[in-house]
Amino acid sequence: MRIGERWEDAIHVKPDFFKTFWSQRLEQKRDVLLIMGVGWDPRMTALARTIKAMGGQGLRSVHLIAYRPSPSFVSPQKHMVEKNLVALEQIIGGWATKETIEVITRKEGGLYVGDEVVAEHYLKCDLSGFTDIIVDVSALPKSLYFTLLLVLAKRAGGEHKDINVHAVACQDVELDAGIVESAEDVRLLKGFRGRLTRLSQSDIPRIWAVILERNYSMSLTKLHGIVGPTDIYPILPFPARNPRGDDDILIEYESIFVNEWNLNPMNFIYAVEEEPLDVYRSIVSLYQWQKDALEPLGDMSMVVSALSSKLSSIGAFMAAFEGNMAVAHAIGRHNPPAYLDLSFWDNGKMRSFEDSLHSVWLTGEPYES
Amino acid sequence: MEWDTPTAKKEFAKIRYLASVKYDGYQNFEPGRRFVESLGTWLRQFKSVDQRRIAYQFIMTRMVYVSGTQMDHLVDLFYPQRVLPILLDQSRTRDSISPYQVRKIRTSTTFAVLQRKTLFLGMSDGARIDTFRRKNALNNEQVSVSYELSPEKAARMTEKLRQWLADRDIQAEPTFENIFLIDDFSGSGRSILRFEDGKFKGKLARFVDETLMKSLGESCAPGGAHLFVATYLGTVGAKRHLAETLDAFCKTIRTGLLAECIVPDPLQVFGNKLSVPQEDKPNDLAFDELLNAYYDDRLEDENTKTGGTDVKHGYAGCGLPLVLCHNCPNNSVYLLWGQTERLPDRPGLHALFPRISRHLESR
Amino acid sequence: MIGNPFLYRAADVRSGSMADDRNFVNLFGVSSLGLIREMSTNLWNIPLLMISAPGGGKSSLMRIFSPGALHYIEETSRIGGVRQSLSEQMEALGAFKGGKPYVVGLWLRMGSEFRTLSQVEGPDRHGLFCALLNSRIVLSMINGTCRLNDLSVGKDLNRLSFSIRPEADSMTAAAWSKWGASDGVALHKKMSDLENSICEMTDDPFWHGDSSALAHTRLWASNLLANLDIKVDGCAFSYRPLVMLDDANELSPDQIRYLLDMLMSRQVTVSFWVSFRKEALGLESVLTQRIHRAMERGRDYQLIDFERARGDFRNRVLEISKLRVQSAAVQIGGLSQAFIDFVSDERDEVFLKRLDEGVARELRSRVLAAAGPELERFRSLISHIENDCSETHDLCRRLRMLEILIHREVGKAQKSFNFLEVSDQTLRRHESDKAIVEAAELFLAKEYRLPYYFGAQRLFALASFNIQQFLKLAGALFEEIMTAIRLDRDADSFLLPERQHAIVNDVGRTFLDEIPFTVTNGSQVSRLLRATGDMCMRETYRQSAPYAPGVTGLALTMHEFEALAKRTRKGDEACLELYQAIESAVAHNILEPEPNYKCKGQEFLVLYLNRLLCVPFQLPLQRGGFREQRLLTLLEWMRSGYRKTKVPERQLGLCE
Repeated sequence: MRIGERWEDAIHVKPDFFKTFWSQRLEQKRDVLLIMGVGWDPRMTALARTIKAMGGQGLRSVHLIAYRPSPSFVSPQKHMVEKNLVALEQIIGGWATKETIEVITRKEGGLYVGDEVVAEHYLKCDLSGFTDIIVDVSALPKSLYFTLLLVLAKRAGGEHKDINVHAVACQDVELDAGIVESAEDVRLLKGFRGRLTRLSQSDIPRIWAVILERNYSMSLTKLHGIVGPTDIYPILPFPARNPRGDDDILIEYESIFVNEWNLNPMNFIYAVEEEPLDVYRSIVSLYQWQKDALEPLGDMSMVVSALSSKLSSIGAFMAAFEGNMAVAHAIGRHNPPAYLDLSFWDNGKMRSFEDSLHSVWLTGEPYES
Repeated sequence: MEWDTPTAKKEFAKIRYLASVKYDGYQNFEPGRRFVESLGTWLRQFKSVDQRRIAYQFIMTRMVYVSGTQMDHLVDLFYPQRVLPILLDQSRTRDSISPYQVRKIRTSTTFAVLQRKTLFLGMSDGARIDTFRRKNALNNEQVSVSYELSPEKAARMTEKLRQWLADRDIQAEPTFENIFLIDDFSGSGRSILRFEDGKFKGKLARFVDETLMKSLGESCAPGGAHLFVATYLGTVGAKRHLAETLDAFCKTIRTGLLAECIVPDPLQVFGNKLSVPQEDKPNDLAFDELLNAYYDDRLEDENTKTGGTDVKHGYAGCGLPLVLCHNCPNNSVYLLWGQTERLPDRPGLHALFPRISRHLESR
Repeated sequence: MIGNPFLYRAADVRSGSMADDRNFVNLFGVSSLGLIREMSTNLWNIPLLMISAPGGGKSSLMRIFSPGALHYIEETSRIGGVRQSLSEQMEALGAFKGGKPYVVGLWLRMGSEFRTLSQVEGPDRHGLFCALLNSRIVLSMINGTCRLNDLSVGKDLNRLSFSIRPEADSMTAAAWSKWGASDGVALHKKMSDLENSICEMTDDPFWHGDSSALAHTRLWASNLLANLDIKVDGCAFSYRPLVMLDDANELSPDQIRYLLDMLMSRQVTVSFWVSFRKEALGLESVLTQRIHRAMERGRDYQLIDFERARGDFRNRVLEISKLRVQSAAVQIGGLSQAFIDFVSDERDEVFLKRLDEGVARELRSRVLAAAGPELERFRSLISHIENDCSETHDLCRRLRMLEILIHREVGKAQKSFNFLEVSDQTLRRHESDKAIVEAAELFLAKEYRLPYYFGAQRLFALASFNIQQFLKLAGALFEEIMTAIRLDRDADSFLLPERQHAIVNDVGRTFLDEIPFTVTNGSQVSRLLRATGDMCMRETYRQSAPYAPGVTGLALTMHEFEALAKRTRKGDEACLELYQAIESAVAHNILEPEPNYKCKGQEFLVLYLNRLLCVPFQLPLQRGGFREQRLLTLLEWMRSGYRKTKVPERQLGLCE
């Protein structure tokens, strides 16, 4: 299969059609597994609430991935986490079975193993009873769900060909813009090292595609250190709600692009904001173009980083998965915006979150010939 | 600008970078004169430092420049985002397939035939139809850079369709089912369709009257083709205008010539909050005063007058801060594109982005 | 667009293209080799360990010995100047022989995939680590040989042949017979396949296989290199292998121990250099530099601590500045290319301009107010100073110093009831105390908003002996210089003190603000830092300047530090938080440690603020002043920030 063909027929269900799509889908008997993270994000329960409201026949199972750096870690936003858990209990009670999966993300010496733990669990997890697996990335970090989606997508492509895997994200641009991500640790994610670290391939050009939004300077600089790219292609949002958004990004990162990287000004490419499929297409086009151009010199390897919303990062996952690309990621804490308070759990706000759900259908029915 | 060195350090870094990545690609700059030079000349026409700062602030915080790379991306997007969903939907309805079995639909003969029976016609050079065709591996004979098809051309396209079907042993009528009229930008919608002097005018009207009724119509499916009038970029105002005008226009078309006429959303929509001035932006209000103070009515002509107002805020008062890499539309505020000669009694205007006037682009 | 040459990260650029190696060598400061030169007698015989905070210069020092860099140095040595000097230094070190590269430097960055191998349990747990390292050492040797002989790895491997000498030990010979090959193509393929298999094993969640089949019992590649004959087109290739493991901090603690055990036990028979970021070594190790308990520094290993190897830091950064400015020489035109020529150091000019009659009047009032009812004790000194000073700025400075003296004397007198007139001799002693002079300058700068952080000397101090930090500062300053040159504002291209001070303040503030997001345990480090900074600020600006020129650090007794470590090991959460904060801060050069500092009959761990972090707290840059804190106090700081302790009214500081 040529790159770009795997998900040529992918379906992105947007918010205006989300409820219709799922209510139609659940009209038939479906056995659904919902995998979600436990965190402070008020969007954590939006999907579960929505799916429950759709009703329908079949198994309903919820996996709660409770991740933390150490067994004794207590979140500074404990009150928000608890609020989410209480709300979730009310949703799940009588509707779905629940399993909590504890993921301690750091080992001795601070080694990040969250992706390894998640991979190990879902390699062994019995998925045979499900027709649909929905991964809600809203309260999961990228460092976990990239590997999680990889394992599920591969299993669905292998022994479980009839399983439909969906990735769901609740997109709230304003809330996302206020979240501050620290960049303590940069690494390649499990399943996504590609050939980047192999000395036998060290001479081949490394092309780094980085999906960029604002406020990621520290991550960007650190990631550059481990990627060591031959060439860099930042991916900027366009079309977008703010048609000037790309200019603002160029201004913010000007010093890094010009002074630290000496970046070729022709290297910018674009992908539609809030369209993971376009992110996917942009990256695979770049991959194909680079492969063709660099063929006389041998091979090339591609690295992807998603310094962007989770919705866009799903597109990055798709491209990296298909092209066996490396994914370099900055791992750190996600701190809520200073203005986040319990009013975000009011009914009005919750409804607006439910109206902001996106779904990307990754395996199953759309891909059957 | 009388910047001190620290301010100059910050601002020059921004200007030079934006110029190198985007603005220097503006196709109407003269050789040897790029954005920074143009900006310098443009700013100098304002009489005071304060005015220059207001004008500069406008450029750095409000102007929207769509580069060549961005336009390329829009051309890339058009098929998967606007064409494909329509063809998939039509195919799956015919074959009664679930809409979610996308691969099955896309690889079906029904789809292939529908795709081949779709025409893509450009409403201007900005549509980049050639690029569109190449990127989507479409047949040469279903694509035309101009929507004004001669009867001979229409006949040839139909014949090629017939041949294509025959080569594949497909039993189907050589008739066109879908027609996409494509343009790069619509500011007011009026260049596409307007009611003026008691009749409908514009590219759509011309297409229906000259091409569809006179030749192409015979090659369309019984009951008429589905006509889609699409732009890569467009304003909310244009969308509204077309929605209001289209119904009435369609009623004037002979039954059976068109199954429907739809105007899909542009790929990038410019909302009302983009237009100048915005009341909640103090610099906008100050810039608006500059628009008044420096206005030169020599920018008006018979074509601009059809917009119903002067061009202080661009044609038809659109008030856009928009520049496209190949030309600055005159729907944008005049200070971006206005160029007039200096005379003894008039200072004249220097354009930041000199414009090539094509009166048909003015609507 | 030509960027700011100080901000370009030359060493970050992965060695691969010749252009990258050229850029790197062109920007490498020859004087950095001085750090190696000091160890030249034992350079190739015993392992060399390099430790530093991020940006200290370890990778650059390794990379200059990589084949691409050495090849470029050889090619360009004929140009003369710096290039020739590099070549000569390499010859002196033994890295060149007869003007040609002799060392084949195998520069291997330890990535996190080594660490994931540590998840394998059991006695063979190091087997995969050895296997991966073996494959990479051999592959690197092949690549390096090609590079130094202008061969292409893709096309010319068949021109290489390999054979093992009889002197190799039996385990190495056995490994060679299984994993080796005489032909370059075959050897490269075997090693590539081995590396690929291990990488797939670590990366692919779906990997199924027998990992023990891939494991190696030993790091046989090191012995192999000592006994490997290489021929290029049939001719013997003479070389000295040098294995350089960069960023060994990426390894797990167990792997680091294993590696160090191996190095110290003399199992490896070729030259080994290993670099660590301080964060890997554990706080105690960094503090004591006792990297490996049983081993003796100097005898069993050499160590370079980049932040402590301060001797020629000034020369190193001057040289680096010159090279960086040269790379942007097109824009500099006919002006001087020495960076420090662009930064004004005119301290006296500042005083001359800003310390005027109005200031003098104000200072006089303050002196009188400070003396209060004891004015008579100081009247003659005041007159003496006023009569002695012909320049207003000089008067201001001396009055300010006098104010400090008055606060000291008044406080003392009240305790001793000794209200004698203060003598000229006391004044002279006071005024000749450099610390007092500097404290007065600092106080004046704060009170009258004078620029303080400017000039070459302070710029070097602000770098805290870290190259990357220097480049960041110099880069910020140079950005303005470049703008002024572009705008033909020659006057502005010579950065005045006010501008330097403002720019340094911005850089310092940003450094402080970014800490929660850029270092491990960032928010803890930030809390500790802000409390420390607040304490230093309060203590520095006490009116009697008891710790002139100021306080820039804290100290904990070694006894309490050990207690902290102990309680941390036992799982005390609060202690863990503090310990981790100190550990991370030291690893990232945010706090600069001086352990076992003897004072008042006790030993202390002194932790100085990184000099750049002195800026947001308006502290001086000299070392010396620190304040002892109890462990309980530090724990309290972590909980609730710095709190003022009760001080006598007359000692209330300037920051009230």
